[in-house]
Amino acid sequence: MDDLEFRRAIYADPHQHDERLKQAAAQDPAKAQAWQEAKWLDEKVQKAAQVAVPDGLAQRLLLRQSMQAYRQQKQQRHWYMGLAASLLLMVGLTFTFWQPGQVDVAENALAHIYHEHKALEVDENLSLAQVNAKLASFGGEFVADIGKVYYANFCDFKNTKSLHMVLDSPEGKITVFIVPHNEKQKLSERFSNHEYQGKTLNMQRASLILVGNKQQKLSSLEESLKAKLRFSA
Amino acid sequence: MFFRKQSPPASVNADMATKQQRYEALVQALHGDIYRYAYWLVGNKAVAEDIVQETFLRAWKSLDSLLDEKAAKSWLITILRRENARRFERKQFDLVDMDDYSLADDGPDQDAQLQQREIHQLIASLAEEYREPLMLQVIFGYSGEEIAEQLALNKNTVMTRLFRARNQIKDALEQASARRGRKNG
Repeated sequence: MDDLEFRRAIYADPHQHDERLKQAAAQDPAKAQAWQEAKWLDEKVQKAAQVAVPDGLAQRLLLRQSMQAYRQQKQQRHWYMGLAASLLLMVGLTFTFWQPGQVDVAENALAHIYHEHKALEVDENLSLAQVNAKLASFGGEFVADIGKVYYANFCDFKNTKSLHMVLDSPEGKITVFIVPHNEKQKLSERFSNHEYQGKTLNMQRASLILVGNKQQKLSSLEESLKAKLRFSA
Repeated sequence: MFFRKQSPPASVNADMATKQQRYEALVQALHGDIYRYAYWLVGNKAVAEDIVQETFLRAWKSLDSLLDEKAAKSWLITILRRENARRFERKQFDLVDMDDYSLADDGPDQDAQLQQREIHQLIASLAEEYREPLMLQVIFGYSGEEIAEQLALNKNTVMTRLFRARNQIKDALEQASARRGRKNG
């Protein structure tokens, strides 16, 4: 190993453990001396390189990061809050404008028949006076006998208190609803489903709704009730 | 639906806590050497601290991408070097003078201190292409191969630069002591 090669090696890395370098140094005192000097120099370079780290740098690094993390979390929370608020607003708006919006009276009438199926089975055999007592709360009255009344009770038509009756007719039992007018009602003159058919009569202060099965003719009862139902002004 | 949503934030918090621990460990273990390296890269204490702040903040943001803790050192050095390069992009030319690193005066070992100061200035005056590999070797104890990988250079180039760096310091010290010898003698 020549001199230059040796010098290049020990100055590139004074602390290496290359066997060829060690042998060269062992055979040549001048090389050993040069290597020792290179190590001394490197010790000084090492020392000079270890500049003082500013006090509290680690703490400042951690602080800055925790502030950043906090900001990010807050931004995220804002994002979530914003989403939650707009969802809530949407739900609110939906409930205010849509839900009590329109009540489909016909649909409700059919739903009531299924819901209170027992009404078609019981026989309470009510008198006209008993029926009129209930009707009075709507300001209505049957001025003449309406035949046999199997069932008569208040029911709820989407927040509108109504009267649910089952009357006898030449066609058999027919369900009759008397639903006070409400500006949010949607009325259909005729309606039906696979089992029942119905009719709505728009009277002075309430709708008279008749529902029978598909074979029943509603017109005779309709005419009779229309003639006998009166509302006080 | 609302109940199901309660578990993910809990695990996110747990992840955050682990991330926090990893970050703190990283800062404690490496901030000193990273700062020193930054100092030798830019030659100014205040700018060095700024770059170190940026480096660690960036490290925090992408800590999830650091999978091997052994690679942390070289990962941080890479971020630091990128931050330093960015500094030059931002301000077209932001030349900073090497700080005069003040040492305690009148210490018991004034000669040694004087010489250390001299060496400090000699390191600072080395060309960056010599100073950078030298500092990687001296501060982080990197081998020639590791320096070559970090700086994307070939190993022979790195060894040549290391040799020239030390050789320049040695020559300068010898010249200085020769001058002093003439003056004193």
